[in-house]
Amino acid sequence: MVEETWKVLRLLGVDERYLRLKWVSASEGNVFAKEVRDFTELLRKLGRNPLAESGGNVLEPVDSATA
Amino acid sequence: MVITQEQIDYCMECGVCTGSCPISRMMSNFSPRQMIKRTLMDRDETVLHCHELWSCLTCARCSVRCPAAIDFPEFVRQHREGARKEGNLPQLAHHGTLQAIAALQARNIKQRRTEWAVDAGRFASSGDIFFFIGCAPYFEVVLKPGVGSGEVPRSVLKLLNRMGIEPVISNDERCCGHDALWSGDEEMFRRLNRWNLEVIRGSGAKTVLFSCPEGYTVFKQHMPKVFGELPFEVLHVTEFLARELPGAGITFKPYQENGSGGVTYQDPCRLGRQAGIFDPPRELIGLVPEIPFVEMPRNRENSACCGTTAWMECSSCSKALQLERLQEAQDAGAGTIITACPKCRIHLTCAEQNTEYSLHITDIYAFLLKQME
Repeated sequence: MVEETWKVLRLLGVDERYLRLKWVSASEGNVFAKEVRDFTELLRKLGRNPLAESGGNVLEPVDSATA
Repeated sequence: MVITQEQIDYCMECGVCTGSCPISRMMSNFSPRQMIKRTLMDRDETVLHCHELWSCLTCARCSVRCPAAIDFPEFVRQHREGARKEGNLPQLAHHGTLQAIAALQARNIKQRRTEWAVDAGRFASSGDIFFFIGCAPYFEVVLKPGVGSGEVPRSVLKLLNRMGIEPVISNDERCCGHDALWSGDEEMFRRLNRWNLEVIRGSGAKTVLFSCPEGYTVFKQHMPKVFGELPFEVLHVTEFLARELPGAGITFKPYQENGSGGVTYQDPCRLGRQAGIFDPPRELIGLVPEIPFVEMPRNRENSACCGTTAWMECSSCSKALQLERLQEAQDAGAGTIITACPKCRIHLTCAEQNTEYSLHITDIYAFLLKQME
Protein backbone atom coordinates (compact mmCIF):
# COMPACT_ATOMS: atom_id res chain seq x y z
CA MET A 1 0.00 0.00 0.00
CA VAL A 2 2.77 2.40 0.89
CA GLU A 3 4.50 1.76 -2.44
CA GLU A 4 1.35 2.80 -4.31
CA THR A 5 1.08 5.90 -2.13
CA TRP A 6 4.67 6.85 -3.01
CA LYS A 7 3.75 6.58 -6.67
CA VAL A 8 0.61 8.68 -6.20
CA LEU A 9 2.62 11.33 -4.34
CA ARG A 10 5.11 11.39 -7.19
CA LEU A 11 2.28 11.90 -9.73
CA LEU A 12 0.87 14.71 -7.58
CA GLY A 13 4.31 16.34 -7.59
CA VAL A 14 5.04 15.69 -3.92
CA ASP A 15 8.49 14.55 -2.78
CA GLU A 16 8.12 10.86 -1.91
CA ARG A 17 10.40 11.35 1.11
CA TYR A 18 7.51 12.99 3.00
CA LEU A 19 6.19 9.48 3.54
CA ARG A 20 8.41 6.97 5.30
CA LEU A 21 7.80 3.40 6.41
CA LYS A 22 10.21 1.62 8.73
CA TRP A 23 9.85 -1.45 10.90
CA VAL A 24 11.38 -1.04 14.34
CA SER A 25 11.13 -3.61 17.11
CA ALA A 26 9.86 -2.55 20.55
CA SER A 27 13.25 -3.59 21.94
CA GLU A 28 15.14 -1.16 19.68
CA GLY A 29 14.51 2.18 21.37
CA ASN A 30 17.71 3.70 20.06
CA VAL A 31 16.88 2.70 16.48
CA PHE A 32 13.42 4.24 16.79
CA ALA A 33 14.80 7.46 18.28
CA LYS A 34 17.40 7.76 15.52
CA GLU A 35 14.78 7.13 12.84
CA VAL A 36 12.45 9.81 14.20
CA ARG A 37 15.33 12.26 14.62
CA ASP A 38 16.50 11.69 11.00
CA PHE A 39 12.98 11.98 9.64
CA THR A 40 12.32 15.19 11.56
CA GLU A 41 15.58 16.62 10.26
CA LEU A 42 14.62 15.68 6.70
CA LEU A 43 11.15 17.25 7.05
CA ARG A 44 12.78 20.48 8.18
CA LYS A 45 14.92 20.45 5.05
CA LEU A 46 12.03 19.59 2.74
CA GLY A 47 9.92 22.39 4.20
CA ARG A 48 6.20 22.91 4.06
CA ASN A 49 3.84 20.28 2.67
CA PRO A 50 3.20 21.40 -0.91
CA LEU A 51 -0.36 20.04 -0.71
CA ALA A 52 -1.23 22.22 2.29
CA GLU A 53 -3.81 24.80 1.26
CA SER A 54 -2.90 27.42 3.81
CA GLY A 55 -0.60 28.03 6.75
CA GLY A 56 -0.17 24.63 8.22
CA ASN A 57 2.51 23.70 10.70
CA VAL A 58 5.94 24.61 9.54
CA LEU A 59 8.79 23.11 11.44
CA GLU A 60 11.14 25.88 12.43
CA PRO A 61 14.84 25.11 12.61
CA VAL A 62 15.73 24.42 16.22
CA ASP A 63 18.96 24.78 18.06
CA SER A 64 20.22 21.25 18.61
CA ALA A 65 21.41 22.23 22.11
CA THR A 66 17.89 23.03 23.30
CA ALA A 67 16.10 20.36 21.31
CA MET B 1 -34.04 21.32 -13.53
CA VAL B 2 -37.81 21.88 -13.42
CA ILE B 3 -40.31 19.03 -13.57
CA THR B 4 -43.74 20.35 -14.52
CA GLN B 5 -47.06 19.22 -13.03
CA GLU B 6 -47.93 17.71 -16.41
CA GLN B 7 -44.72 15.65 -16.37
CA ILE B 8 -45.48 14.49 -12.82
CA ASP B 9 -49.01 13.46 -13.82
CA TYR B 10 -47.69 11.41 -16.73
CA CYS B 11 -44.95 10.02 -14.53
CA MET B 12 -47.40 8.71 -11.90
CA GLU B 13 -49.28 6.67 -14.52
CA CYS B 14 -46.19 5.13 -16.07
CA GLY B 15 -43.23 3.18 -14.70
CA VAL B 16 -41.10 2.60 -17.79
CA CYS B 17 -38.12 3.92 -15.80
CA THR B 18 -38.40 1.31 -13.07
CA GLY B 19 -39.05 -1.38 -15.67
CA SER B 20 -35.91 -0.32 -17.56
CA CYS B 21 -33.63 0.21 -14.59
CA PRO B 22 -30.80 -2.33 -14.17
CA ILE B 23 -30.66 -1.60 -10.43
CA SER B 24 -34.41 -2.16 -9.95
CA ARG B 25 -34.05 -5.63 -11.42
CA MET B 26 -31.41 -6.49 -8.82
CA MET B 27 -32.84 -4.51 -5.86
CA SER B 28 -36.62 -4.66 -5.77
CA ASN B 29 -36.88 -1.70 -3.36
CA PHE B 30 -35.21 0.64 -5.85
CA SER B 31 -37.67 2.49 -8.04
CA PRO B 32 -36.97 5.71 -9.97
CA ARG B 33 -40.70 6.42 -10.25
CA GLN B 34 -41.24 5.97 -6.52
CA MET B 35 -38.40 8.38 -5.82
CA ILE B 36 -40.02 10.99 -8.07
CA LYS B 37 -43.36 10.35 -6.38
CA ARG B 38 -41.95 10.58 -2.87
CA THR B 39 -40.12 13.79 -3.67
CA LEU B 40 -42.62 15.68 -5.81
CA MET B 41 -46.03 14.27 -4.80
CA ASP B 42 -45.59 13.28 -1.18
CA ARG B 43 -43.06 16.05 -0.44
CA ASP B 44 -41.19 13.43 1.55
CA GLU B 45 -37.93 14.99 2.64
CA THR B 46 -36.53 11.66 3.79
CA VAL B 47 -35.50 11.06 0.17
CA LEU B 48 -32.39 13.08 0.98
CA HIS B 49 -31.58 10.59 3.71
CA CYS B 50 -32.22 7.43 1.74
CA HIS B 51 -29.40 5.30 0.50
CA GLU B 52 -31.09 4.56 -2.84
CA LEU B 53 -30.08 8.01 -3.96
CA TRP B 54 -26.54 6.64 -4.19
CA SER B 55 -27.52 3.33 -5.80
CA CYS B 56 -28.53 4.92 -9.10
CA LEU B 57 -25.90 4.38 -11.82
CA THR B 58 -27.05 7.54 -13.65
CA CYS B 59 -26.76 5.32 -16.73
CA ALA B 60 -29.72 7.09 -18.40
CA ARG B 61 -31.44 3.88 -19.45
CA CYS B 62 -34.59 5.28 -17.83
CA SER B 63 -34.40 8.83 -19.17
CA VAL B 64 -33.88 7.90 -22.84
CA ARG B 65 -37.14 5.92 -22.63
CA CYS B 66 -39.15 8.26 -20.41
CA PRO B 67 -42.29 9.36 -22.33
CA ALA B 68 -42.55 12.43 -20.09
CA ALA B 69 -38.93 13.47 -20.83
CA ILE B 70 -37.91 13.48 -17.16
CA ASP B 71 -34.14 13.48 -16.80
CA PHE B 72 -33.93 11.11 -13.85
CA PRO B 73 -30.09 11.04 -13.70
CA GLU B 74 -30.10 14.84 -13.39
CA PHE B 75 -32.83 14.61 -10.73
CA VAL B 76 -30.60 12.22 -8.78
CA ARG B 77 -27.52 14.40 -9.27
CA GLN B 78 -29.27 17.44 -7.87
CA HIS B 79 -30.66 15.57 -4.90
CA ARG B 80 -27.21 14.19 -4.17
CA GLU B 81 -26.10 17.79 -3.62
CA GLY B 82 -28.79 18.05 -0.94
CA ALA B 83 -28.05 14.60 0.51
CA ARG B 84 -24.37 15.51 0.89
CA LYS B 85 -25.33 18.64 2.86
CA GLU B 86 -27.51 16.46 5.11
CA GLY B 87 -24.58 14.15 5.78
CA ASN B 88 -25.95 11.32 3.62
CA LEU B 89 -22.82 10.10 1.86
CA PRO B 90 -22.06 7.26 -0.56
CA GLN B 91 -20.00 4.17 0.15
CA LEU B 92 -16.71 4.91 -1.62
CA ALA B 93 -14.84 2.22 -3.54
CA HIS B 94 -11.06 1.75 -3.20
CA HIS B 95 -11.13 3.31 0.30
CA GLY B 96 -11.90 6.74 -1.16
CA THR B 97 -8.38 6.98 -2.63
CA LEU B 98 -9.60 8.21 -6.01
CA GLN B 99 -11.82 10.89 -4.49
CA ALA B 100 -8.86 12.06 -2.37
CA ILE B 101 -6.59 12.21 -5.43
CA ALA B 102 -9.19 14.23 -7.34
CA ALA B 103 -9.65 16.67 -4.46
CA LEU B 104 -5.88 17.23 -4.16
CA GLN B 105 -5.78 18.17 -7.84
CA ALA B 106 -8.01 21.15 -7.08
CA ARG B 107 -5.01 22.67 -5.28
CA ASN B 108 -2.05 24.55 -6.61
CA ILE B 109 0.21 21.58 -7.33
CA LYS B 110 2.83 20.66 -9.94
CA GLN B 111 1.99 17.17 -11.12
CA ARG B 112 3.98 14.61 -13.08
CA ARG B 113 0.96 13.03 -14.76
CA THR B 114 2.51 12.82 -18.24
CA GLU B 115 5.71 10.95 -17.33
CA TRP B 116 4.40 7.79 -19.04
CA ALA B 117 4.27 9.66 -22.37
CA VAL B 118 8.04 10.08 -22.70
CA ASP B 119 8.40 6.40 -23.60
CA ALA B 120 5.06 6.14 -25.40
CA GLY B 121 5.37 8.72 -28.15
CA ARG B 122 5.81 12.28 -29.29
CA PHE B 123 3.88 15.24 -27.91
CA ALA B 124 4.06 19.01 -27.70
CA SER B 125 3.54 21.78 -25.16
CA SER B 126 1.50 23.99 -27.47
CA GLY B 127 -0.45 23.45 -30.66
CA ASP B 128 -3.88 23.06 -32.23
CA ILE B 129 -4.80 19.68 -30.75
CA PHE B 130 -4.88 19.06 -27.00
CA PHE B 131 -5.20 15.47 -25.82
CA PHE B 132 -6.92 15.42 -22.41
CA ILE B 133 -5.41 12.27 -20.95
CA GLY B 134 -7.74 11.96 -17.97
CA CYS B 135 -7.01 10.16 -14.72
CA ALA B 136 -5.54 6.98 -16.24
CA PRO B 137 -2.01 7.61 -14.82
CA TYR B 138 -3.52 7.59 -11.33
CA PHE B 139 -5.74 4.58 -12.03
CA GLU B 140 -2.67 2.68 -13.15
CA VAL B 141 -1.11 3.11 -9.70
CA VAL B 142 -4.18 2.72 -7.50
CA LEU B 143 -6.08 -0.10 -9.21
CA LYS B 144 -5.02 -3.72 -9.31
CA PRO B 145 -2.68 -4.70 -12.14
CA GLY B 146 -4.08 -6.12 -15.34
CA VAL B 147 -7.17 -3.93 -15.65
CA GLY B 148 -5.47 -1.98 -18.41
CA SER B 149 -5.84 1.56 -17.07
CA GLY B 150 -2.59 2.92 -18.44
CA GLU B 151 -2.92 1.44 -21.91
CA VAL B 152 -5.67 3.85 -22.99
CA PRO B 153 -3.67 7.11 -23.15
CA ARG B 154 -0.57 5.28 -24.43
CA SER B 155 -2.53 3.79 -27.32
CA VAL B 156 -4.21 7.11 -28.18
CA LEU B 157 -0.86 8.93 -28.25
CA LYS B 158 0.65 6.25 -30.50
CA LEU B 159 -2.39 6.32 -32.82
CA LEU B 160 -2.19 10.11 -33.13
CA ASN B 161 1.56 9.90 -33.79
CA ARG B 162 0.94 7.36 -36.55
CA MET B 163 -1.40 9.90 -38.14
CA GLY B 164 1.35 12.52 -37.97
CA ILE B 165 -0.20 14.36 -35.03
CA GLU B 166 1.82 15.40 -32.00
CA PRO B 167 -0.86 16.52 -29.56
CA VAL B 168 -0.40 18.79 -26.57
CA ILE B 169 -0.47 16.96 -23.26
CA SER B 170 0.00 18.72 -19.96
CA ASN B 171 1.19 17.94 -16.47
CA ASP B 172 -1.09 20.72 -15.29
CA GLU B 173 -4.27 19.01 -16.51
CA ARG B 174 -6.63 18.20 -13.63
CA CYS B 175 -9.32 15.61 -13.02
CA CYS B 176 -12.38 16.62 -15.09
CA GLY B 177 -14.60 16.55 -12.00
CA HIS B 178 -17.06 14.08 -13.51
CA ASP B 179 -17.21 11.94 -10.41
CA ALA B 180 -17.44 14.93 -8.09
CA LEU B 181 -20.29 16.36 -10.15
CA TRP B 182 -22.23 13.09 -10.19
CA SER B 183 -21.57 12.62 -6.47
CA GLY B 184 -23.29 15.89 -5.68
CA ASP B 185 -20.16 18.01 -5.28
CA GLU B 186 -20.52 20.64 -7.97
CA GLU B 187 -18.17 23.01 -6.15
CA MET B 188 -15.30 20.53 -6.57
CA PHE B 189 -16.21 20.17 -10.26
CA ARG B 190 -15.96 23.96 -10.67
CA ARG B 191 -12.65 24.24 -8.82
CA LEU B 192 -11.02 21.51 -10.91
CA ASN B 193 -12.24 22.85 -14.21
CA ARG B 194 -11.18 26.43 -13.58
CA TRP B 195 -7.66 24.96 -13.69
CA ASN B 196 -8.41 22.90 -16.79
CA LEU B 197 -9.78 25.87 -18.70
CA GLU B 198 -6.71 27.91 -17.87
CA VAL B 199 -4.37 25.09 -18.94
CA ILE B 200 -6.15 24.43 -22.23
CA ARG B 201 -6.43 28.14 -23.07
CA GLY B 202 -2.72 28.51 -22.35
CA SER B 203 -1.86 25.77 -24.85
CA GLY B 204 -3.52 27.62 -27.71
CA ALA B 205 -5.48 24.48 -28.67
CA LYS B 206 -8.44 24.75 -31.02
CA THR B 207 -9.56 21.15 -30.51
CA VAL B 208 -9.55 19.07 -27.33
CA LEU B 209 -9.68 15.29 -27.65
CA PHE B 210 -11.00 13.01 -24.91
CA SER B 211 -10.44 9.25 -24.80
CA CYS B 212 -12.63 9.05 -21.70
CA PRO B 213 -16.37 9.54 -22.27
CA GLU B 214 -16.72 11.04 -18.79
CA GLY B 215 -14.33 13.91 -19.47
CA TYR B 216 -15.95 14.30 -22.85
CA THR B 217 -19.51 14.70 -21.55
CA VAL B 218 -18.30 16.99 -18.79
CA PHE B 219 -16.73 19.34 -21.34
CA LYS B 220 -19.45 18.91 -23.94
CA GLN B 221 -22.53 19.14 -21.75
CA HIS B 222 -21.80 20.40 -18.25
CA MET B 223 -18.96 22.91 -18.66
CA PRO B 224 -20.87 25.28 -20.98
CA LYS B 225 -23.68 25.50 -18.39
CA VAL B 226 -21.21 26.72 -15.77
CA PHE B 227 -18.48 28.51 -17.73
CA GLY B 228 -20.32 29.56 -20.90
CA GLU B 229 -19.34 28.59 -24.42
CA LEU B 230 -15.88 27.02 -24.52
CA PRO B 231 -13.24 28.58 -26.80
CA PHE B 232 -12.32 25.24 -28.39
CA GLU B 233 -13.91 22.26 -30.12
CA VAL B 234 -14.61 19.25 -27.90
CA LEU B 235 -14.32 15.83 -29.56
CA HIS B 236 -14.26 12.27 -28.37
CA VAL B 237 -11.26 10.42 -29.84
CA THR B 238 -13.60 7.98 -31.62
CA GLU B 239 -15.36 10.91 -33.35
CA PHE B 240 -12.02 12.37 -34.35
CA LEU B 241 -10.63 9.05 -35.61
CA ALA B 242 -13.81 8.14 -37.50
CA ARG B 243 -13.45 11.47 -39.30
CA GLU B 244 -9.67 11.50 -39.85
CA LEU B 245 -8.45 7.91 -39.90
CA PRO B 246 -9.97 6.72 -43.21
CA GLY B 247 -8.05 9.45 -45.10
CA ALA B 248 -4.82 9.13 -43.13
CA GLY B 249 -3.27 6.48 -45.39
CA ILE B 250 -3.23 3.86 -42.64
CA THR B 251 -4.10 0.27 -43.47
CA PHE B 252 -5.21 -2.46 -41.10
CA LYS B 253 -4.19 -6.09 -40.95
CA PRO B 254 -7.01 -8.59 -41.48
CA TYR B 255 -8.32 -9.86 -38.13
CA GLN B 256 -6.95 -13.28 -37.17
CA GLU B 257 -9.80 -15.00 -35.40
CA ASN B 258 -7.97 -18.29 -34.71
CA GLY B 259 -10.81 -19.69 -32.66
CA SER B 260 -10.94 -16.67 -30.35
CA GLY B 261 -14.54 -15.91 -31.26
CA GLY B 262 -16.33 -12.80 -32.39
CA VAL B 263 -15.71 -9.20 -31.46
CA THR B 264 -18.39 -7.12 -29.79
CA TYR B 265 -18.68 -3.53 -28.64
CA GLN B 266 -19.77 -2.25 -25.22
CA ASP B 267 -21.48 1.15 -25.50
CA PRO B 268 -20.41 3.26 -22.51
CA CYS B 269 -23.37 5.08 -20.87
CA ARG B 270 -21.75 8.50 -21.15
CA LEU B 271 -20.67 8.13 -24.75
CA GLY B 272 -23.77 6.33 -25.96
CA ARG B 273 -26.99 7.32 -24.25
CA GLN B 274 -25.70 10.61 -22.85
CA ALA B 275 -23.73 11.92 -25.84
CA GLY B 276 -25.42 9.98 -28.64
CA ILE B 277 -22.16 8.58 -30.06
CA PHE B 278 -23.00 5.08 -31.26
CA ASP B 279 -21.68 4.88 -34.83
CA PRO B 280 -18.09 6.23 -34.78
CA PRO B 281 -16.70 3.37 -32.63
CA ARG B 282 -18.49 0.81 -34.81
CA GLU B 283 -17.17 2.46 -37.98
CA LEU B 284 -13.64 2.27 -36.58
CA ILE B 285 -13.96 -1.41 -35.67
CA GLY B 286 -15.32 -1.94 -39.20
CA LEU B 287 -12.09 -0.57 -40.72
CA VAL B 288 -10.38 -3.83 -39.75
CA PRO B 289 -10.75 -6.36 -42.61
CA GLU B 290 -12.41 -9.70 -41.85
CA ILE B 291 -13.56 -8.54 -38.43
CA PRO B 292 -16.09 -11.03 -37.02
CA PHE B 293 -18.21 -8.28 -35.44
CA VAL B 294 -21.27 -9.32 -33.46
CA GLU B 295 -23.71 -7.15 -31.51
CA MET B 296 -24.87 -8.10 -28.05
CA PRO B 297 -28.70 -8.15 -27.76
CA ARG B 298 -28.56 -5.05 -25.57
CA ASN B 299 -26.72 -2.48 -27.65
CA ARG B 300 -26.74 1.23 -28.53
CA GLU B 301 -29.57 3.01 -26.61
CA ASN B 302 -30.38 -0.26 -24.83
CA SER B 303 -26.81 -1.02 -23.82
CA ALA B 304 -26.04 -2.25 -20.32
CA CYS B 305 -23.98 -0.26 -17.85
CA CYS B 306 -20.63 -1.68 -16.69
CA GLY B 307 -22.05 -1.81 -13.16
CA THR B 308 -20.67 1.10 -11.19
CA THR B 309 -19.89 4.78 -11.55
CA ALA B 310 -17.95 7.55 -9.81
CA TRP B 311 -15.90 5.01 -7.77
CA MET B 312 -18.71 4.38 -5.32
CA GLU B 313 -21.32 1.82 -4.40
CA CYS B 314 -19.45 -1.11 -5.94
CA SER B 315 -21.72 -3.84 -4.61
CA SER B 316 -22.98 -7.34 -5.24
CA CYS B 317 -25.42 -5.58 -7.54
CA SER B 318 -22.50 -4.18 -9.61
CA LYS B 319 -20.93 -7.62 -9.83
CA ALA B 320 -24.23 -9.21 -10.87
CA LEU B 321 -24.63 -6.64 -13.67
CA GLN B 322 -21.07 -7.17 -14.84
CA LEU B 323 -21.34 -10.95 -14.89
CA GLU B 324 -24.64 -10.71 -16.73
CA ARG B 325 -22.94 -8.56 -19.36
CA LEU B 326 -20.01 -10.97 -19.74
CA GLN B 327 -22.47 -13.83 -20.19
CA GLU B 328 -24.35 -11.81 -22.78
CA ALA B 329 -21.15 -11.24 -24.76
CA GLN B 330 -20.29 -14.92 -24.59
CA ASP B 331 -23.79 -15.96 -25.65
CA ALA B 332 -23.53 -13.60 -28.63
CA GLY B 333 -20.47 -15.54 -29.75
CA ALA B 334 -17.94 -12.91 -28.75
CA GLY B 335 -14.50 -13.72 -27.40
CA THR B 336 -13.46 -10.07 -27.33
CA ILE B 337 -15.27 -7.07 -25.85
CA ILE B 338 -14.12 -3.68 -27.07
CA THR B 339 -15.08 -0.61 -25.06
CA ALA B 340 -14.53 3.09 -25.62
CA CYS B 341 -14.39 3.97 -21.92
CA PRO B 342 -11.46 3.32 -19.57
CA LYS B 343 -13.88 2.64 -16.72
CA CYS B 344 -15.94 0.08 -18.67
CA ARG B 345 -12.68 -1.67 -19.46
CA ILE B 346 -11.56 -1.57 -15.83
CA HIS B 347 -14.89 -2.73 -14.38
CA LEU B 348 -15.54 -5.54 -16.83
CA THR B 349 -11.93 -6.75 -16.57
CA CYS B 350 -12.10 -6.68 -12.76
CA ALA B 351 -15.27 -8.80 -12.84
CA GLU B 352 -13.84 -11.17 -15.45
CA GLN B 353 -10.63 -11.81 -13.48
CA ASN B 354 -12.53 -13.63 -10.74
CA THR B 355 -14.52 -15.92 -12.99
CA GLU B 356 -14.05 -18.76 -15.43
CA TYR B 357 -14.97 -16.60 -18.42
CA SER B 358 -12.15 -16.31 -20.90
CA LEU B 359 -13.16 -13.10 -22.61
CA HIS B 360 -10.58 -10.63 -23.81
CA ILE B 361 -11.61 -7.14 -22.71
CA THR B 362 -9.85 -4.26 -24.38
CA ASP B 363 -10.44 -0.70 -25.52
CA ILE B 364 -10.87 0.54 -29.02
CA TYR B 365 -7.54 2.40 -29.11
CA ALA B 366 -5.41 -0.58 -28.07
CA PHE B 367 -7.39 -2.73 -30.48
CA LEU B 368 -6.91 -0.41 -33.48
CA LEU B 369 -3.23 0.07 -32.72
CA LYS B 370 -2.70 -3.70 -32.64
CA GLN B 371 -4.42 -4.08 -36.00
CA MET B 372 -2.43 -1.36 -37.78
CA GLU B 373 0.11 -2.37 -40.39
